[in-house]
Amino acid sequence: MDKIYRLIILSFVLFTFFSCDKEEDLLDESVVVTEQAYQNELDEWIYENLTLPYNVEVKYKWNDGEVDNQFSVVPPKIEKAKEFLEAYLNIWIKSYEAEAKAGGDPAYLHKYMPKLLVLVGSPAYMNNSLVLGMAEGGRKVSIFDVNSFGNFQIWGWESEERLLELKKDAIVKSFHTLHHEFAHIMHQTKFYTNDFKEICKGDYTANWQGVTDEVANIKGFVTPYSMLNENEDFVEIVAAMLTKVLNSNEAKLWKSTQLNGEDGYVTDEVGDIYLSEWEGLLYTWNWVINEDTWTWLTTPESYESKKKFEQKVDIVTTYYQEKWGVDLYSLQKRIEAATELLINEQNN
Amino acid sequence: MKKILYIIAILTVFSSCEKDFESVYDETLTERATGSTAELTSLLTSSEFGWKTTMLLESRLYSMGDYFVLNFNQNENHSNGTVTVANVHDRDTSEFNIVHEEGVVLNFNTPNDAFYWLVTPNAGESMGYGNNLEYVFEKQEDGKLYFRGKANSYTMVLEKASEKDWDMSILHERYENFMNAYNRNFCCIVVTDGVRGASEENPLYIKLDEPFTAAFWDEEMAFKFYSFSWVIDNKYMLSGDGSFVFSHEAMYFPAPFAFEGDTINKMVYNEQLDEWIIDNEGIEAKFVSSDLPIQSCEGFYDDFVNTICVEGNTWTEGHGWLVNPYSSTQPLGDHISNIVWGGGEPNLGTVHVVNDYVAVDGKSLGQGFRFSGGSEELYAFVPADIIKLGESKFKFVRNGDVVTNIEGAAERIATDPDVIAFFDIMCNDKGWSVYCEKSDYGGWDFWEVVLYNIEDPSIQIEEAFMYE
Repeated sequence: MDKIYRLIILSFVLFTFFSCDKEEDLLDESVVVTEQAYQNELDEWIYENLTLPYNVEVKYKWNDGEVDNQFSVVPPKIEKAKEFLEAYLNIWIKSYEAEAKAGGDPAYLHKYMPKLLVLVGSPAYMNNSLVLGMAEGGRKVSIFDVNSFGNFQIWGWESEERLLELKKDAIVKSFHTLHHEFAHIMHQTKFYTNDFKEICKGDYTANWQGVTDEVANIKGFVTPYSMLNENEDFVEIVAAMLTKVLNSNEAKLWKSTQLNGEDGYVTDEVGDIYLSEWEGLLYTWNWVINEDTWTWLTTPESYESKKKFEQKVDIVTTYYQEKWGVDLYSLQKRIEAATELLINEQNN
Repeated sequence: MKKILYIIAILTVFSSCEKDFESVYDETLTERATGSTAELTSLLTSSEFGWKTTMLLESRLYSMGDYFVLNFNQNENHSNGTVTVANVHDRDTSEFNIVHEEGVVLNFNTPNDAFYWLVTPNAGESMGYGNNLEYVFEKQEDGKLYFRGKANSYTMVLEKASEKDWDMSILHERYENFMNAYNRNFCCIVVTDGVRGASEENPLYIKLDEPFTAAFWDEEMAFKFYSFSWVIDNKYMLSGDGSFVFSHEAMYFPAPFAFEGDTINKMVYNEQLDEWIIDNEGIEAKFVSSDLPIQSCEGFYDDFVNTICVEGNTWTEGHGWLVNPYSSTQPLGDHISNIVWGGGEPNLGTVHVVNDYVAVDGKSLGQGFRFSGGSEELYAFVPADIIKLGESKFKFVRNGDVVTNIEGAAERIATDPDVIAFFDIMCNDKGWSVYCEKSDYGGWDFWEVVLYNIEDPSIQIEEAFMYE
């Protein structure tokens, strides 16, 4: 009987060794099929101007893996993609780069800027609203409606100067998503102070979609989306500052306008004042219409909303200056100048 | 015996470990994937003059379509390259690639002006008009290539094209020919056989109109849209909204006329007759268009004379039909406006077309035009017969002197250039042809009426009337 048991045990031991036998070698080629893509002029331009110097990949041809399946969209027209990317390089990247160099931390932009840009030609229509931008984890940003990049409504009676202003504004505003997402990366890398979170505490809401611009403003928010949470509030201020840049380099004359008093309330006094677009937003933040006289007035609520907003702007600008060496007001000027230069180059 | 059994058992255990399967494929996964994409690339580029397809698509709101000719050019030996697509309006070259995902997928991966218009979403059609950017290759059969759309399962069939198929000039000529006809005031398909009740004597008129939704979402595309409407058994019926599809074989209506199993969805151009003929089996019909109403409106003349010219517009309370400048196209609208609001003396405040008119002073004046002098008591009456030319055709013929209690009115009517021009238009020799749609509106008769000046159909007067 012992012999039998020994024989059985021996058999299992042998079987164990055999079962571990390596029967097949791994394939010496990848199972991932790669194909050399067709390269057009824009592909080459992207490689030379964005991928090599900034390590940014741009996907503008249709790739269903890059866009959420719930959206029905199309890739951008080649000429519009090129137009957008030239503006992205000259207005977005180069302005940040120059400001980063001026602030003494030239590396941060290259390190943290989104590394994958997905361009989509049409907007994504969703539940009666339009999706114009999306971001995933700080690495990838999708920009929608590129086919409308730089487009604006012309009524026919605009002066040359006004047309230029509209064109600048349309281009600058197209970068809202990128400013917004990059600001997220910034504050996730280096935190802003908790004071910011206290200013509008209690007014944040998940139901921001039902809020109008006016209601958001009177609560101290620059957009309804800012009301979602403190982080969105923070980055929306940055994006608003960097997309309301007109007249940053040369303030515009606001002729015969009501003037603010020293107490921060708007007065009945009328005069001329020079303001940039951003300064204009702050200057008039507390103005509400008096429906009896059709003049502006300041209410205690609008006065408070302005104070709150100014406090938040101070924290944001201080944060950028101290943590990253970035002067947002200087960046506004750079963006405006770069936009004007690009338009002039295109016109010539 | 036991030993033998143990040995057999041990041998069984070992033999079970033997590698006893073979590779199902002769090629590796990579080779197979590359092979299948290369095979489709080769198929697509094998046809000398490329491929053609007629797409008839369904979207949420519309039945759309187009006819495309496509030519694929391979990038060296890769499964990508450029594709030139042409339709009646455009020709554009873009890129394609073929990938191996859920089968072999053909991607139209950069925009193509000719091909993309049926894919691009807009505010009305958030999913586009039903075309796809990605097509899964299904089979090759009888020389045709079959693809399934990835987004909405539409089957695209590519058929080998000839050199002639690329010549869009003939197609464009036909398109222009049709659109010139379609842009006239009235278009319809006149059916004389094959649909219930239709005959030479009693044809069925299927109206073609530009649907009101067409320009709403995409103004530039409005001209491509149509819808059918028709009346059978006093029931008004309407097709879906669609776009015209022009191919070398036929012109298609993706949103067809369909009634009791009879369908009209395509027509062909007969060069000898210079006519568009319906090409559906068993149906005799042709397309006609005109700037004047094609169909007469039964009994309209009597309604006009006895109701409209007596009871008047809904709000004019029995003073006849108020000819409103805002309801009239130019130059008629301007002339009326100048007469009634131009400040001319004496004041001629309104103008009505009347029948059986009895003036405030009791004079029975009959048919004609009545100007008011700013109050109910003041009038200037221009007698004119309303002569019947057909069921819904008539003309005005002046037949006497002005009867008036307004000082100077007769002279103004005789000399004021706007009044003279007004009567030249209203009393033109050929008269007026009327299009009328009657419907029941909560127990009231609702008439939508358009009068077309037969001499110059661009002059129109559009009014709506409601009678209890």
